[in-house]
Amino acid sequence: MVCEHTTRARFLLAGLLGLLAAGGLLLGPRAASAHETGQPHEHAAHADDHHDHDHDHEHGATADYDLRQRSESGGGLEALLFYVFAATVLGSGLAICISTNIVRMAVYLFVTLSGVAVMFFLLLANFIGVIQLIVYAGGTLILLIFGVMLTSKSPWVRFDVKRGELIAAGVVCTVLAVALLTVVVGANWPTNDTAVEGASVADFGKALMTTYLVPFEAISVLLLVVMIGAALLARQE
Amino acid sequence: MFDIGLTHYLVVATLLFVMGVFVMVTKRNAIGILIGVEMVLNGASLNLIAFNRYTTGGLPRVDGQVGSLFVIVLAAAEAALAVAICMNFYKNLNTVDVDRGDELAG
Repeated sequence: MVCEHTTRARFLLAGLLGLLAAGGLLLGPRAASAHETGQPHEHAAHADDHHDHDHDHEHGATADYDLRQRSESGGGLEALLFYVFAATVLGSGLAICISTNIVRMAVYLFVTLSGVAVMFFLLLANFIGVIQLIVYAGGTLILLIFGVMLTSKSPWVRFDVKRGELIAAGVVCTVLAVALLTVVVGANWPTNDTAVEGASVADFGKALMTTYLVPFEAISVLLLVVMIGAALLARQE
Repeated sequence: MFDIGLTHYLVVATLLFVMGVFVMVTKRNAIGILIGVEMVLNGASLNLIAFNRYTTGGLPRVDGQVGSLFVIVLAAAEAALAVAICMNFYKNLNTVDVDRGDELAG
């Protein structure tokens, strides 16, 4: 019985990881081709638009047309990938909610984090997607698993939750979800849906070193403090 | 339906956030609560990136991405400290069941 259960979980996990890999493979060529075909046109049009905005209405209109056309051609694949990975993220999130085993929860969290990273790629935030995979899925999750190993006598230890508490939490979270979804779906967000190329890593670095210099320095000091603090907290007497 | 927009991503982020809150509230294992916090932070991060993609008016702005980077860094820092605290908790009480940490309760 136990063995059977484990095998099923393993198949499920292998399936999810395969899905992730397939998504990455599908996404890679699409991003590359968009880069090759779209970048020069857009760059030129964009520069013109910026320099003499008043004189060159015609050029701006062409650029808009180009962008819209490209967005439409990539729309079907984008929708497919979005739904597949939305299902991955939400399904593994639900599995974390249901699971009572901490190791299994950590593994499902890995799937969730990877799915969110793919969503970052879909949203043209390539650098953040990579950072999400490296720091979150590669670093933070390993830290959590080390935490599990260091703080339990057996990896199969489980703490049962009272049924009443579960029901109360379920009701509260359902109300919260309904309220938030009502706002999110009903609100008239000021979207400006032009399919831009994602900002380059150079843009990102410039923003980090100019506009956001103070938060950047503050967060580096914070990391130092956290490193010392964690070492101090975890030291053996 | 097949035209993916801002609202689609916001719905996914909202559901991730709510599931994170549920995990935080219902798990008694301290590490499990930490996993819930990570889910909530990921939902917030997805929100930031989605708004950055759909509301910059065609300019290569990175404001939302910078915010998301800070969220990721803070999450890593928070996880490191929380795991250290969990280890102390375990050293003192020989368990990571947060319901047992009630020595200060009246």
